[in-house]
Amino acid sequence: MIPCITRSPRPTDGAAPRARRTFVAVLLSVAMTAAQRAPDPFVDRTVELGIAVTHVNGATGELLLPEVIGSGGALFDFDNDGDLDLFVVQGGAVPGTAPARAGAAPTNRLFRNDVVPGSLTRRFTDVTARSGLAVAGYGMGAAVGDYDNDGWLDLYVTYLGSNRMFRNNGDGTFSDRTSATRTDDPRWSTGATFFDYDRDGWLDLFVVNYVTFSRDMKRACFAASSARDYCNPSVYPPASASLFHNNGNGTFTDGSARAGLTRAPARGLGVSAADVDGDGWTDVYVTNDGDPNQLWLNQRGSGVFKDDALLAGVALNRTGQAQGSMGVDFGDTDGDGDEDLFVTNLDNEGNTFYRNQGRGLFEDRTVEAGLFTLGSTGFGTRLFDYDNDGWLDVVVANGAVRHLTAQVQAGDPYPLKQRNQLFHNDGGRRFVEVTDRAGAAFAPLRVSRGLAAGDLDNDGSIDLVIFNNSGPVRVLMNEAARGRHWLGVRVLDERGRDALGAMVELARPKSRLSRRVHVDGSYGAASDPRVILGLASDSAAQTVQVRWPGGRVESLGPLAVDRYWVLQAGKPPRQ
Amino acid sequence: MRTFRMVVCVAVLSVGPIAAAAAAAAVEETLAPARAGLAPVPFPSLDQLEPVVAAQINDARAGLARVASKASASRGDLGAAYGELARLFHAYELFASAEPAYLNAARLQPGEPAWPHLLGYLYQQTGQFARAAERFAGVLRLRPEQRAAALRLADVSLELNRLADAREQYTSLLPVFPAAARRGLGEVSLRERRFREAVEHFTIALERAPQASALRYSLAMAYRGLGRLEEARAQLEQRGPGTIVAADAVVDALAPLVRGERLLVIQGSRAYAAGRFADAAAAFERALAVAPASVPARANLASALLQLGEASRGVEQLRAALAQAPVDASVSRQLEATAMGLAILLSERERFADAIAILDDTRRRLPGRAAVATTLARLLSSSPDIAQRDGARALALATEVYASEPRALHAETMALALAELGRCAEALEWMRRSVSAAEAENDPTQLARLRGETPKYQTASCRAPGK
Repeated sequence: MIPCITRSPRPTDGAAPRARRTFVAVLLSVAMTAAQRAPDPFVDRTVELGIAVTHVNGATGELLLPEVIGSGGALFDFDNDGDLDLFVVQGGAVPGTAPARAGAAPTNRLFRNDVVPGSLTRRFTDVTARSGLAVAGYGMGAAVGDYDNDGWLDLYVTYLGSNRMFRNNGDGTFSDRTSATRTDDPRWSTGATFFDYDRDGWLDLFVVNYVTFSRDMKRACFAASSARDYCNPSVYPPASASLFHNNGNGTFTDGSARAGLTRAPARGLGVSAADVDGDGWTDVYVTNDGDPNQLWLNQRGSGVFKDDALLAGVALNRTGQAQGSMGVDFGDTDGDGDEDLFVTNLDNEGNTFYRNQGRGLFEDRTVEAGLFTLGSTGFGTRLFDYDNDGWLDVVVANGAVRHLTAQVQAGDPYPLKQRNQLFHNDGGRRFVEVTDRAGAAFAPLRVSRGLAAGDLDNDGSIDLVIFNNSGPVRVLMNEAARGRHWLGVRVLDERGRDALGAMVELARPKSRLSRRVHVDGSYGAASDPRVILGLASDSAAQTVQVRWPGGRVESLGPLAVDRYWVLQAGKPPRQ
Repeated sequence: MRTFRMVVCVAVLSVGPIAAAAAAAAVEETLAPARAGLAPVPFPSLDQLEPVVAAQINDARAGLARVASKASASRGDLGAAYGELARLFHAYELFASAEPAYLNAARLQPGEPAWPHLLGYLYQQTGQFARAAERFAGVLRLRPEQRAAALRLADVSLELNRLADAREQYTSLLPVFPAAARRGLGEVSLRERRFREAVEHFTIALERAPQASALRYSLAMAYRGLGRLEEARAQLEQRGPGTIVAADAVVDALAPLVRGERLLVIQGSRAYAAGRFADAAAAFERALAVAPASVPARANLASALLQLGEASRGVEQLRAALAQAPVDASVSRQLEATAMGLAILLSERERFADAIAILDDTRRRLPGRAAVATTLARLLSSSPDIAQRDGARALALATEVYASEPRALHAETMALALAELGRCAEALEWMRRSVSAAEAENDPTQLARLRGETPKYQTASCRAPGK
């Protein structure tokens, strides 16, 4: 607006004073409107933070399925300096195809989160070169966990092709320990999660696989208009998931067959580990693309899992249809103490919200919750309290997997772009889509895939990182929680490792805040392990209950608010 | 009910030229309003469409242009021309073009119920339920007797969570669409957590439409709500793709507009997935009429015929599909699955020689398929028709499969073949291996079955009995 006005010819006739008055009035009006309008809840600060990385999907015009599936990344504190660093999974040429561009193959990237000396400003430094993570390959997603209990977070990266286990050496470098740990899966892996299924104190690993694919299996597929389009994954054979048991000596054993996974191939994409049936043992939920989703109930740490998703009501939508499911997250959206489930799906299906009715049984309540919309294909997602009002909201990273006619007509060379979405939780009753009010950060059309959530600047509000397919990584800093009180906790077990699965609870006047420690879920991404309890206007010190994996409950507090605490099993709270 | 857009694969060996076409930037074109007060219609680029489809759409466009160019053309004529173009766009899911064309048609022919009906359906497909409800209500104002629109209005009310409206609407439709209305009432009850009532509605709906196996999921959820978990599990085991399809002449008239092998295969696949096997077979036959060399159409037709119980015709189509070359991996899988299904059906009908012949054909055409080889080996070693047995060949097949996949099931196939050859001690040893493998595979059902079978190999004569 202002450049237009200043470039306008200066009034020279007698109407000048009046025109000037109008001009000033317009400016004042604009300024007042800006002052009255609520600030955008998120602001894209990617450039200011120094993050410049663009995903390469290797598209050559053949419309190969892998091009549209990746990828994700991770927010994790690799250097134990108290803030979240960023790992970005990269693609490249689809295996078996020639690179679209000459030169070195693109690699994964690692960015260290630094405070600029003498200021509170943050800046991310690209430390890929010396990290040992500059590995090329057609990457999909990342999982984070300290598999060797040495106090340093390790990284598992999934690929179309062999996966890689990177051990954190604690000095800013990682070593590829795939072979030594025996955790390779040479198929097309997507989601992965570390979890301790047998409660032996060592993190095991669950890896989700998608379909059997090689370039010589290329297909020509068509949309309903008869135009060429990306294929539905149903044209490729499904693949089964893998379970690797941690032997506690730096090696893992493939327990997939014993677990029952090899008998249940499906086109898996997302994964989340949680104690869904409340028996004290961590279960695994897998989202499948076109196949029924699976809920692998842990048979008391025996290494055997049983899929009971159908009876639990989380395999299909309410009309009994399997959906093209991608992203996933569990969270207590209604303050009743149990975790509900949100799954992202194709644009002609809509996402699905399963309300937990207790005893591990769920009901599809998408419409009632206000979450049913068509027209967006959801991938990464997170149930998170972006405005610290104490209620979990929803963010969805969107991007189609089939050509969008309007964009094809407009000549877009990659016509899969959609807007990301933000839904605000209205007091646990229902969600209201606020994308249109979410500002410029939610305006662009992109092909978003992975989404990681975490407090990048340690200000008590949850920021977002969106991993875009064939597009730039974007960092959206949270501005919505300013002025709201909060309590942040990092929950550690006796060994000092993130107590994945621990539940942090806080009684509120009319509900209960329950937040589980987890980094998995979403799509191809790992998020901040810390829990932030949104307290709105409540500035009083709080006493929280921690329900440790295994069932032991501990009350800790009172804890002063608006700061982070470390709650370690068997130790007093510390800042 | 939501309608799903679908992408289907057909066998194409080289995609280079098509890919090049896809990379070329399309240019948007708009059909200017033919009269004042009408909306412009975005005209899709036809470059990437199947030629027969592009020609069909171009013809409809030319038809509209002809009518529009005549000063004497009535509003009705122009409305009909817009409507026909809209229907074509709609049939090919070119929604952004179909919508304004329908709006123009409705404006020019306000008394014609087909246009708001189809517009409502388009909104229903694209999740614009409030708009869909307005349109269907409009149809009913024009023609209260249009019960298909009333059923769609009820379905849309359900999507909008207007449960009281939906209940009333479905109830009024019980005499016309008893199964569909019961299904809807069941869904309303389920959402209201009135589980007993939901069980009653779904049970009646299933009595009226037993093929609607998808309803068993909803019935299972209703039983689950009542705490009757075993009944819920029993229903879940029976669930399938079958749905209740209520006749809607206006919407049903879109499908026959579709031309071209690619899309007829898609149409047939949709019908197949919904358990409408006769519709599926008809679509695949139309595809074959257009493209007699289409392996996907022929293989799909064989599957549909199999589902319809027409085994002989299915065999004929499958053999014809197998005789055609080349095929890609997805078509191969489909051929394999169809062949297996046919072989099992033929065996159930005691046509063992035909079953073996089908599997032999498939094996020649698609070598290296463990499931085909295993089924063939089992028939050759234990067919009730002893004349069809060939233990030596069965053993060769079983050995080949076990070498590549040493699983419990394949160890059992080895045992069966050895038993047919009278090598009972070896057969018993393989059964023991099979039990061990099932233990390692942690498959309790398989394990129990194999343990039950093992004693049969401990006798002096372990050969499977024939007839």
